[in-house]
Amino acid sequence: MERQRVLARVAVVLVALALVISLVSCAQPAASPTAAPAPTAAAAPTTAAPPPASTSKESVKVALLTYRTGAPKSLGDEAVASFKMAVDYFNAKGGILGGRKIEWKDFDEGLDGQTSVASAKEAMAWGAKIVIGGQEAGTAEPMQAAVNQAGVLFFGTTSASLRQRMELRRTGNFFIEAPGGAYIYGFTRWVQSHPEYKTFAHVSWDDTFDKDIEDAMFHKAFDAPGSSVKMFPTIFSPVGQTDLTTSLVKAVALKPDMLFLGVFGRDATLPAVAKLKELGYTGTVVPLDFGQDLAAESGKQLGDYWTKMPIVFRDFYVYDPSVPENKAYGDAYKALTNKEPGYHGVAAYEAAMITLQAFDIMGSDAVDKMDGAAFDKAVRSVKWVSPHGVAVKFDDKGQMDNAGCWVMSKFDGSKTPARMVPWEKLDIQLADYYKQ
Amino acid sequence: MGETPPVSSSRMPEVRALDWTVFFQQVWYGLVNGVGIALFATGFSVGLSVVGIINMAHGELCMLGAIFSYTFMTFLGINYFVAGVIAILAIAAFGYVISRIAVQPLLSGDRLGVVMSTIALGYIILNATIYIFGSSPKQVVTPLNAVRDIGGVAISDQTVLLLVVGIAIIVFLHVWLSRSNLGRSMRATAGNELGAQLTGINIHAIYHSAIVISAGLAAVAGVLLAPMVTASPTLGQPMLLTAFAILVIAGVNSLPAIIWVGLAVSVAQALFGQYVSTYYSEVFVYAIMVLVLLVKPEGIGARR
Repeated sequence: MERQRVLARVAVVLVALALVISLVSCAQPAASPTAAPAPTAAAAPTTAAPPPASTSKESVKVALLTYRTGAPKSLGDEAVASFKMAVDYFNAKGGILGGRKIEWKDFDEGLDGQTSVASAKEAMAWGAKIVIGGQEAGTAEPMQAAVNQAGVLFFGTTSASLRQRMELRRTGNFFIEAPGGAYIYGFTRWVQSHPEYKTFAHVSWDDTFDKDIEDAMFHKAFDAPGSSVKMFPTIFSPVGQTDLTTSLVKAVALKPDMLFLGVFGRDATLPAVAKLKELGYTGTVVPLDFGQDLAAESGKQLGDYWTKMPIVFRDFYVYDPSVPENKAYGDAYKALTNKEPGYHGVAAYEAAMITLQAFDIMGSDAVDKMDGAAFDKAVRSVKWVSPHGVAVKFDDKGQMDNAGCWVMSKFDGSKTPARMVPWEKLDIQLADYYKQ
Repeated sequence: MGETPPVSSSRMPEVRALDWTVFFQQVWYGLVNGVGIALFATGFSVGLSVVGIINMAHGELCMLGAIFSYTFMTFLGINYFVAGVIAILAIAAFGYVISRIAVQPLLSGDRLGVVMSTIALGYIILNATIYIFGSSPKQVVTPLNAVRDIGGVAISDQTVLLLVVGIAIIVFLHVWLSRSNLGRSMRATAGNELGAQLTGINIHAIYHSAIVISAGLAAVAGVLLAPMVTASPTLGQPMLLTAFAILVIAGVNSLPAIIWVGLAVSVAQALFGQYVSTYYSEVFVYAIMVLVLLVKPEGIGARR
């Protein structure tokens, strides 16, 4: 009875602790970076501005906010590896601003706004001159607002969210624009162009992007009169949940021709696909997060066990090896990680490379003062060819237009190109997603 | 694929309010998860009731069982069953090391020290696993990968294995604790440590045995669950929290209650997710726990 009482108390404390942890942010210590090869010369900036006279030899601190915990940590690992490559590149040349070394640290963006804001504050308290990061609207928006409010420089690596993009534009922040809503647009057309797909189900986390953007766009495309594909009501699960058994049982019972897994990170994706196999699902599975890196690694692991399951995955931020800058980045990334680069790596790399060049142009005083106007001007003067082959363009709102191409791939190696369109051309009501 | 529901409007209908196939599919997964968590909780309970320690590294031992089975399969080229047995034996042996290093030396002091020791151990195991094996989930490929359609309910052979082996192990443990000399000594130690010592029972050996059995049971759960959920470093942590809830509801010392509470709660959780809310299905378990704490704090399986 005494032990039962102790156990009960511990259980109550643990449950309470779990709830508190989910509410209160917990920033993670920086990952210890491993040795990395410097990017080759081809990955260098296309122009090098003359460094201004240095006023201080103190290191310049830059912070990266990305996923360091939870299911999508593997995506954050991509970002950290790529960010480190960019910093190492400049430090190997003697630093920036006439010899100042760059000091960097990664912080956990988490899966909620409280975590991302707390991590951003920790980064700023550490002395970061700029915070780079933000993967998803629910975490990125509050974090970006906190950084802006504190007068620290910010560069977004928004992954895909139209809403987040709107917010970044409204607030005049720079960001790497991922194909976001555009890929969904392309994807829905791709599905509709394949007559074997008549019904579509979506099992999704209820994070801002998956719920408010992706799912809304799926319904807009598939519920439209005359659509050849019909969509079942989406089955949502709490963001971060890795055991999706209940939701997947529901989805498989609908017998959809295609099932889209709106979850990200290997900890969620792989068990979900394994469960679908176990449930005897024979339709096409499209994991949201199953890029070339993940597919290659998992493909090796899974072998014949999976071959009867038609998995379609998207390399949704393709880097083109025929472009020298791309090849240099891709080769360096593979040498460092033994993997293909994915979107999160590319975005962090680009953001870091552009920012550090801009710092060099700004001069030490402006960097130390975190002069937003000088940063704005400097970033616009940076010439940069994106690792996925698109020249950087910044508009008056600070956006970086990166809409590229992507492909749908299968484990059998076949690929179907599906070109995306600039988001401005999408027939969607942005006001539905973001109220100014 | 097969038949599709009729489309009467631009939006597709949801699954019917009570589709028996879906109902039984959820029940099946509830039973399978229930046995998995009961197996895990049983191991935890052995450590708690006999030694009086709350082993916060229990989840990591379960995870190690899964990771080791994957590793042995990959690097030794052996099949799932052999790899699983070796993994279980290895983790049980590791349990002895834990007992010697992290538990026994601290038992003379406050038991809170042991709890802290196992928390530290859990972190060390978790981070060492990530460092050595990486953070990616590993697919443990079982030869029992056939999926049978029984009245529309998909039942894989691996889930049947988990259900049968899991229940058999818990029942065997229950009988063994009641009838074997070592088992009776364990129960005596659990009931009255001083009394057990006075009757000549070597309680240090009993403690070692209990922790070895506890670790072995955690590893069994990990090995059996791995093919269904993948082997990842984060496998064990959520199970620990659920096991706490199951033990609080069932009562620490009642193995039969741990089984049926584990099964009932998991099935109820699955059905709650199906028919009420997927979002709150985890909260549902803890709501039951709080209710039991209010009504019968010693656990519903406890004898007065």
